[in-house]
Amino acid sequence: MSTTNLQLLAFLSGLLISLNPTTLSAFTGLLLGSIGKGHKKSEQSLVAISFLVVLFCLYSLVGLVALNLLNLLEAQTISNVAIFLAIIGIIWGILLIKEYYWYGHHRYLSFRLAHRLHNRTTKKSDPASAMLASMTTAYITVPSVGIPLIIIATICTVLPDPSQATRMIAFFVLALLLPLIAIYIASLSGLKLSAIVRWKEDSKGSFRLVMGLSTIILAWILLLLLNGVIEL
Amino acid sequence: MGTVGLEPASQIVADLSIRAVLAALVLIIFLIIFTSAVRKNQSAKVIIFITLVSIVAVVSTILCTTAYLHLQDTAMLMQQGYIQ
Repeated sequence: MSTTNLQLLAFLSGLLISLNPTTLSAFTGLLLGSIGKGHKKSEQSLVAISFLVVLFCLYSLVGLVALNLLNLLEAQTISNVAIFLAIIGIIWGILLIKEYYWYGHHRYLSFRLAHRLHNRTTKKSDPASAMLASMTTAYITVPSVGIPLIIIATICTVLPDPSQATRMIAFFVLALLLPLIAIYIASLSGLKLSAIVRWKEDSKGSFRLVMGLSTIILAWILLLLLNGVIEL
Repeated sequence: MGTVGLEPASQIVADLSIRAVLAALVLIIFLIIFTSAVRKNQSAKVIIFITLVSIVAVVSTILCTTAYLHLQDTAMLMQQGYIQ
């Protein structure tokens, strides 16, 4: 597997996992709150950029911390940890696929937090609130985004060139934010955010299915790397 | 009479792993397409979901086992000095 293929893998998996109903809801809620308060385009831009920058920094930090922690371990230990992480990824992927069949039919661990986030994004729409909303979103999406991110970081630990690892994580995180950037640019061009909200509500089961399958496939790629089928 | 060549075990493992993953992906896609046709039928959804989970579990078990055995073999060969 060449470096270009790995970067493409990171980018594509990030794009598939980016269709996360939580981040889409938080971001569109924030923008709708900003528009509802009569903010000018420059103020709306500041709110959106604050949210996106903080989210990018937090996701990148998680990826880089995971990478550095894994690199501290011995080679044999990394391999055993990698198998364990792949199993976690597969289990989480199955839970996400379950959402496609029965959406929301379980207790959310962070339901109260999600409720508070919703209140915050609709009532307050300044850059500071946007940053706080971003941190809360990053926390809520720890399993859905964090697990694939850690699997990508684990794949990076077997790369011969360490600088490629940072680039792979950057590609993955950038791909995670691409739909949000596209929504923001489209809203500036006149797209109604209510259409995005409706599309998200109609398709959230499918989004979870895609996220689940992507996480499982990433875990399988990691296992194929470990058993020597795919070589770097 | 010619000699019979045996494929190295690692090659067999590689073939098995790749075939398992590809077959699983094809079956999963088929099951998802089938789900959209029977969305209203609860029992069918349960059966499809259980089948999907079983496929994922079987393939994952194969991959985890082969990965673990490969890592054990590599560690043993490194200890004996055959590879570095």
